[in-house]
Amino acid sequence: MVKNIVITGDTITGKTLIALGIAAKLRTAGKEVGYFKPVGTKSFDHSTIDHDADEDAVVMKSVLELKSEVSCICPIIRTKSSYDEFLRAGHDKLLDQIMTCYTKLSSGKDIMLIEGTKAPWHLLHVGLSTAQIATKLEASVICLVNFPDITAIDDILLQREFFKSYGVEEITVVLNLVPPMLKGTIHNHIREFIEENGMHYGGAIYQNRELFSPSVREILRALDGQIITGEDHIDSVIVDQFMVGSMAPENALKWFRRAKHKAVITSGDRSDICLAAMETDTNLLILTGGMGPDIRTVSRAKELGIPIIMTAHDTYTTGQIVDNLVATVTPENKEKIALVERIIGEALNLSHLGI
Amino acid sequence: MDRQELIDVLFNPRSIAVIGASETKGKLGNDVLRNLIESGFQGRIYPINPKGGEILGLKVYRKVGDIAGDVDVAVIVIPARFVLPVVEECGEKGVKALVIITAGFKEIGHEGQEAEKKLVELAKKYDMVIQGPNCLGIINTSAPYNASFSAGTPSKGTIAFASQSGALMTGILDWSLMEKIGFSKFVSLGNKADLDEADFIEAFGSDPDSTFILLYIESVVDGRKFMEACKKVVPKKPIFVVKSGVSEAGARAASSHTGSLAGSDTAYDVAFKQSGVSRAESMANLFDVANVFDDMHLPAGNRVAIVTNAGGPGILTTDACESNGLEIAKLTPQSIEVLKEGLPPAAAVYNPIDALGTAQPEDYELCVETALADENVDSVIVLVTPQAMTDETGTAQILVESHKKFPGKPLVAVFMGGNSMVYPRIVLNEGDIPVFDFPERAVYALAELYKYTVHRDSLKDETIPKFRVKKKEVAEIIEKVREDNRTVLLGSEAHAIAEAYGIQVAKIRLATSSEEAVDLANELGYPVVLKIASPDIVHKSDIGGIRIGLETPEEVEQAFLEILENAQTHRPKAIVYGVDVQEMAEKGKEVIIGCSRDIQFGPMIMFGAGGIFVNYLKDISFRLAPMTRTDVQELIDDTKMGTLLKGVRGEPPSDIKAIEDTILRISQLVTDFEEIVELDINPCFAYEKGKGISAVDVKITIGGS
Repeated sequence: MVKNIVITGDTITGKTLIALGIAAKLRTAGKEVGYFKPVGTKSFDHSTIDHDADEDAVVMKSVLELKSEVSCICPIIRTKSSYDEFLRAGHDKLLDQIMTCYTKLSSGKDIMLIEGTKAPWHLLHVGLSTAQIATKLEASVICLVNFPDITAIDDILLQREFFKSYGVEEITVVLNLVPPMLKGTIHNHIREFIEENGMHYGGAIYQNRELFSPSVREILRALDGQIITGEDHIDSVIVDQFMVGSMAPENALKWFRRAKHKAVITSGDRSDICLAAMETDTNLLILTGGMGPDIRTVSRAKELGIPIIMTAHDTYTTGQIVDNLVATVTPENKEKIALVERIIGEALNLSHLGI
Repeated sequence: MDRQELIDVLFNPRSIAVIGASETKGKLGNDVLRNLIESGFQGRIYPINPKGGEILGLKVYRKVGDIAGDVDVAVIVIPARFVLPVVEECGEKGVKALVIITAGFKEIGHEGQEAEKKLVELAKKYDMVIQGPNCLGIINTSAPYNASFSAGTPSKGTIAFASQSGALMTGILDWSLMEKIGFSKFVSLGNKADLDEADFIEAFGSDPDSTFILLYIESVVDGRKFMEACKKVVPKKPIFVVKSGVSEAGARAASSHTGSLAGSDTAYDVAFKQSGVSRAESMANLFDVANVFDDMHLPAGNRVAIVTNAGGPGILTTDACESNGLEIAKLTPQSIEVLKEGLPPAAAVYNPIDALGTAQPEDYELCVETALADENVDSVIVLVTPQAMTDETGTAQILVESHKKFPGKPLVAVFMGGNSMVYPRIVLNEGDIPVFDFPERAVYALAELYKYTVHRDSLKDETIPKFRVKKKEVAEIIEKVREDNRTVLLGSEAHAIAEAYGIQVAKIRLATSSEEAVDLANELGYPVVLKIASPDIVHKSDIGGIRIGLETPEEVEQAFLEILENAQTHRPKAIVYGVDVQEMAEKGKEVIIGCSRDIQFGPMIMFGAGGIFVNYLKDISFRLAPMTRTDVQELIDDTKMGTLLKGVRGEPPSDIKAIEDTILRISQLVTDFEEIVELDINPCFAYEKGKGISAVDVKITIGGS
């Protein structure tokens, strides 16, 4: 019998990260893991004229080496073309589509990971919210709750109410984006609070730059830039922090030393800043103003394996663009996936689900 | 053979191969070979060129392997792409040292750099040393030989000169011929792939033909090695350095010239100071000093006698002596008697000795020889202005003779003037007396010679103090920070590290809830300080992240919540670890102790006046760690704060011993833990003598991975 686990939560990338973490754990234990995302959103990067595709589905298909079509892993794509795009199809037809794909995907699997919609109440209007699908599939629910401060305990209860009202019995709470200062509180009190309120505590994911750090490829794409050296590292290198370099090199050093795995944004003609940056833990040089580096900077970067990209934007604009970059997990980014599997794997304790 | 023995072979080879020798005039391969022949090299010369034949009357070999006898040194002047296989051939032939003149290595980019790395590997493999690549060559006037493409050979002398710039050398060489300055060794460092400035300094140090070392550098390859070499050599002979790239723009130019980040100029300054090296501010200064040193012995002290034929220049010289740290000698009564007897009554017989405008060569002879013989005089400056009755050339000749009678005491001439001084200057140059046209330069050079004797004598063999510390605790804290993937330590962590190294710190504990904060405040005792604990927030006070002087549990609770709220409002993206609860230290004299790791020289310790005026007062000084107790004392004495701590205007003195110990412990900490790249204690309160100090705010950044 296949065990169904629905992963839900009002988060941007958290659910897929959890799915990756769990899948890695299970696969190490020799289990056959499937992945299903009943309702997704359209990714223009991965869609074709004939088929709309969801990015998470593409990633999981590649990671779990699934044979099925992406269009089956995520059968229903919300295009937001009109308010009634699903009402026109109707509950029954959509459910039928979901169940057909589910049956196909789950055959031969030990465990199916089912990823919910962006928020668990989405698609209530056709009776296909994440909670309703979970009941239908008799699934256990892992509920991801953002926990930036202690007021979020009410959010936990709200989730419980919602899922219970649709008949879901087994709820596991995983806390997300927890500031490190709450480590003690979570451990000593919140965990207990969750269990006293009839739920399981499945772990906490603390604020961690690495998880949400963009890769060089993502930065390059966002800046519409040009890569000068380090093409080999375009997916493997991620950037945790950004810093602008504009001071004299010996003063810059002090600042550069404060950040790990960083990208330094500076103008191409500041070879002193580039060299100072490369003396510290720097993963990427972003040269602005369309000015390329001098030959010695390139040579040092090659020696150290640090990629350099060049953009036509000025330093301020560049800073703004990268500041809003939130990394996603992409199929090309193998290193990132390994990192996610490790961090999430360590954060979770789902032994009550047999994981 | 070790490196120094190999350099000795490079300096004194029995045979030299010129690989890439050419018969075409104007080609480097032709210049080098011709220079070698013309320099009077007594050993064997093997021109090498695949075409064979004969060049400048010498048999040409097709390759190194064809030579029957041993080859000590090979000079390589062939295009860069052929260099590696030729170096390999040289290695197989057993060549000891290579001078690679060829350019097109590190300076042209990545491929060049890779090739340069291979050069160094080959040198290691075959036990050779390499000078260059991308250099002018080498000249040894005492061997003698000239294996360079310079447009002339310097005259023989006692100055060893190494330069990172080849072009600069050619200029100096030409100028030195005019100025009659002689060199023992003339080395162009080039890219310093293998042999660097430190190797040559050490070699010059044990070279019997060199008594004085001059260096022009843009950066050093290995700061520590450089300092070690200098410390070894300075007790035997002086090292004078011009290090360019002082200004911000200069440093920028230097970094794009060398492709590596030079250490900060402050670090260079401190490194020179701590290893007894004198730093000249300009090439002109460097050679003024060289000019004096080439001919004269070192002065025994700083007492100068001035002999002049005019009042004005005498006063100028006196002023210059004062400002350069030289003393105007007090002549013995016997000398004064001699002068009184021999000079006209209007003459000034006290130092400066003014022999009047009518002074004839005999008058100068009397004055100069009396001064040279005087036991209260360590050196003599002779000023001559061209007046109606002055016999400039005769006076010059007299000086040459006087110097011969008293060769042990430095004698420097200043012949002020233009056309009338041309011939006298030649006489002085020929007679090995340094001559200047204005007094300030002469005084500067003389003063530098004296300062060298002071540096040399102050280089003591003092041990580095070692304290008993809890090294393991520090290692554990750093490990934890690493695991957390942070570089900036929390206040509680930084203070714990300082505490483990026996530094008196204000205690800090991390609270993650308001109740915990209150408990910790009760434990530490009121009043307390609360500070936001987040590596992302540097300027805590700017966002309301600090509350001081909290007297009650209620105030602590209130402050805890307020600080978190402020952090949330102003820096929503910052990762917050909690709030630090810290004991309030009693106010004392505010000092700052810091450490920054220099790229070239390692940990550099700073001391100075602390508190909010740090950036305004700039009353700070630096030393490189590890430090001796003398280093620390000098470091503190360098600052005005050092004087203040001793107690001024009736104030009781502060606990300087405790500050010294704190600095030494910091020095030990940053030496033990290379991963500490930045450390700041600001402020550190210094209390009255016997009451110690309190490190109020300790900040630590770790690097590496």
